[in-house]
Amino acid sequence: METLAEPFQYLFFREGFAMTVLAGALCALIGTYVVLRGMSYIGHGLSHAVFGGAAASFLVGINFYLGAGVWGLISALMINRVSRRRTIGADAAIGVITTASFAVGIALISRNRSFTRNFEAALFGNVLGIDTSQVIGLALVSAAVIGAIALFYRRFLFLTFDGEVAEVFGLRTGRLDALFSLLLAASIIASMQVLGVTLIAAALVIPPVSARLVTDRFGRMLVLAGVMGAVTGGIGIYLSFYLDVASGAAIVICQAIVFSVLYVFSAFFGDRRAQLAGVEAH
Amino acid sequence: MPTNDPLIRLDRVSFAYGSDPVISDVSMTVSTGELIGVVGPSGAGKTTLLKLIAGTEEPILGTVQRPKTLRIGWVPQVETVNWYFPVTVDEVVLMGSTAGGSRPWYTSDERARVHRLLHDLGIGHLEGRHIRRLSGGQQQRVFVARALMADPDILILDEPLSGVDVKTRQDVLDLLASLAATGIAVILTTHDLNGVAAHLPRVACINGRVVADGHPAAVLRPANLLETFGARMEIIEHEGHPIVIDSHEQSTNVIGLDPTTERSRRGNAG
Repeated sequence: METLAEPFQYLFFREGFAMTVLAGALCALIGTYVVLRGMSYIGHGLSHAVFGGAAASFLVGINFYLGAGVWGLISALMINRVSRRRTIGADAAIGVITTASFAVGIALISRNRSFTRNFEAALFGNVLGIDTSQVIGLALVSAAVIGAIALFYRRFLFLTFDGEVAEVFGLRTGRLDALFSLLLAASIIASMQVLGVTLIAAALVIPPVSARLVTDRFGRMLVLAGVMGAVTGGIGIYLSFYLDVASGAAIVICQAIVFSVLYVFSAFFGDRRAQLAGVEAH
Repeated sequence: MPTNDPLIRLDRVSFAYGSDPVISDVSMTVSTGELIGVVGPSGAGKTTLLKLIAGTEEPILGTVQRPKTLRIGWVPQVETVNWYFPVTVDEVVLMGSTAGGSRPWYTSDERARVHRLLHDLGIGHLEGRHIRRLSGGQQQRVFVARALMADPDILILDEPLSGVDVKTRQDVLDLLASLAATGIAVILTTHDLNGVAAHLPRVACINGRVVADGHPAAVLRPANLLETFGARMEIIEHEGHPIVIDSHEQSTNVIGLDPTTERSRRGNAG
């Protein structure tokens, strides 16, 4: 028992554990909407776009969260705007805007070599480099996202199910889209230090898809995804301590294992093909 | 019962997507308690007309007058619904009161109303079932129930009869007639000419513009159908209702193309 509790003797592990549990749950909650809106690629894209903002804020000497946040929000709003044109579509809009933004970040970094070390941390995540302020920041973002989901649960559900019809029924879909973009950008920025640009997409997508395999109800899917994200986050960092592997990678591998088990399980007890097709086709 | 008070009035309305005109110079009124069927070929502007009535599209010319407090219930085309979305019948119906809901959560009054509505529509036993696990008619009723949750002044249905069997078609049209009788204006688009002829008191033929609008017996005539669909059709009467049947005569003749010339043109192009 003492051996199992050993990592918790260290402050860095306690903070890292809190960060990964929170980031796992946060990404999974917001990811449920992302997946059901058919925008699974947005997590991958937006985390890269935010990276451009991070590089720019580093070079001009402004706060990382402010620069990355504004950059990420603008990118998310632009994706929403561009994807409304059906001739382009969400996937292409994400591809164009986020890769262009990422390219700006690369260009800025290539002109300033001193950023190289931070660059690596941003790409792959560095749970050892966190401080208490980042834990508090992530906790505040998580509280804001959970609060917004609770407050706008019905509106977000209708928007996600059928945004065009929701507008006919009197919902202000433009404002809701903007709020969702803000929450998504904030979630990605707050989780970037733990998971890294390259692995955030998995944390947004895998827990919701896993939850979808075991329920047909939206509310349950949301809660299950959040719980799976938190639990796999905790187990992932715990394993990374003993196996000496990157925490982000350990978390995502845990999530992939949970998905695989549920996938096989639902093959025998559920209608997995139909459910997966729905998640992918929407 | 229909009244003479226009709920919505379209006056010389035109609309285009970019430079492509969809409908031109359309004037019509929709009154409380009316039941109207809009027919026309694919691409005739039927759905656009519904969107103009609902206010989700604005005309580029002309005006649409509707009360500021107009409550709209919209029933979408079944093809546009994501049937694999993780949502159950009651959750879908509850969406109908989302905009007017004063609380972030579902109230017990709302849940009781959902229960009552579903029961009235004959699908009360399906409340907790996933929407994919319903028949075509049941799915239509779920979305009608959602629209009714908004307590609408007007119910707009986009192709509610597509892909349903004859019995379901009759059931849906009977349901809409009973809703219109309660004072709700009901307007729907359809390709089912005989369904509207038998069940609806008013039908509008459109093909970019209103070709004819009125009682089915007056509107469903060969000349109007030819102008609307570009196809020759014949009308026979049964128990006072017009029945539309396809003509054996080639339609290319009647829309002004000589078959010989047409073959020659295709040959040159190919």
